[in-house]
Amino acid sequence: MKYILYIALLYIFLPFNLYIDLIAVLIFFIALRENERFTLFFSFFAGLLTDLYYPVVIGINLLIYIGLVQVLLYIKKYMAQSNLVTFALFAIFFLTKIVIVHLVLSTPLKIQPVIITLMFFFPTFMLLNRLVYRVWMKT
Amino acid sequence: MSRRQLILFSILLTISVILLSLREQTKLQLSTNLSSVVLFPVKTVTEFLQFLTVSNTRITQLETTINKLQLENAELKKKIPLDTTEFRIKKYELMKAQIVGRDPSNINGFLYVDKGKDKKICINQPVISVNGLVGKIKFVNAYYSIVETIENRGFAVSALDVRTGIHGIIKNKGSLMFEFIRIDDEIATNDSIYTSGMSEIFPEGVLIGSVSRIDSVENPFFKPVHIMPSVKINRLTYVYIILEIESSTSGSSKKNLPGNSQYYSTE
Repeated sequence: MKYILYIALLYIFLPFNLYIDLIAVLIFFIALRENERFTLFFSFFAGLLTDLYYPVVIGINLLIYIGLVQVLLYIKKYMAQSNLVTFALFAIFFLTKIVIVHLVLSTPLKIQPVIITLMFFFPTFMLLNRLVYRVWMKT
Repeated sequence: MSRRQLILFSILLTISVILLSLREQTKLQLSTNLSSVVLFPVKTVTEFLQFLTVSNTRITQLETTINKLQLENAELKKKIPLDTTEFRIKKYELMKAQIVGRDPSNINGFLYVDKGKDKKICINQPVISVNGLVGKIKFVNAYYSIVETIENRGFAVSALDVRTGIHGIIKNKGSLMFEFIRIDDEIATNDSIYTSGMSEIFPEGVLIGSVSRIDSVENPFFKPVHIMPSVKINRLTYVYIILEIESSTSGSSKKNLPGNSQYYSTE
């Protein structure tokens, strides 16, 4: 049931991805909370949808999400479960994605969506926790 | 990292790299085909939202147009009652007059009526009866007047065939003739002939008679049309003299002005 919810949320977040990157938050949340295989499939699908919805270079988001998620899945077991670490991890994850995309596409970096995404990370993360696990913050 | 996860990661990574390295044409074709399937829910919702936005804009435009039209309509409605009032309020003031005598030498040509200058009767005032046009005042004395009827030789009035809209002149040449009707005019027997209003004496819309006969062509331009008068002069006892036209919008009355006789009353 929660997988359907994730897919639904992915489709809901997709049109707003230029203004606030909630898909990155969702992938990060799934990478921390769900099993590895679903996370990999989901990041693949999310990357594909992003590439198709914002067609610049098809496959770029796909590759970045899979690579970063794989790294995230590898290192998450070594990270302590705290809000600060979670936020720092997301910041690195998200900024790496942004930097790679802009380096590959050679497009000017828009700082406003980045700041908004970082600002709304915790509220979205807590909301996702509430929606899926009925708690605001899972420890 | 488990072996399965590694295999899955490798497969997905390979697909990503393959997608990235495809030719532009292939990428475009692939993305078109994929997006029609994968993005179907998003596109449907987006198109629906766009439709709503466009509809909302259109509704706003239509509301603006409706408001403008309502204002325009209100302005026009303000004008219409005035015009209609002005139009409808015009009515003839009629005076009933009794026929008190006839000219022995021309018994149906002239009628003596019991109203004269004392009742503000003037020369050339039209005279009608319930059945239609009778004639006009020819002579006025202090207490009586003489009416020249349509049956008097030489009497003429501008007329109109209401069915075809053909204008002409009704003239008494021993019998009533509808003159200046061209050969190709589609006038027919039993057509009703009314006064046309193109006269300073007779108002429009008063029945004169009907076409009784159309003779064979004698004239290369006009055909002779005979008219049967609607009024039987020799049976008349009373007639009505049209005195003036009342107009309540101006508060004044206009004397002897022809108007629309459909609205005349005997009030």
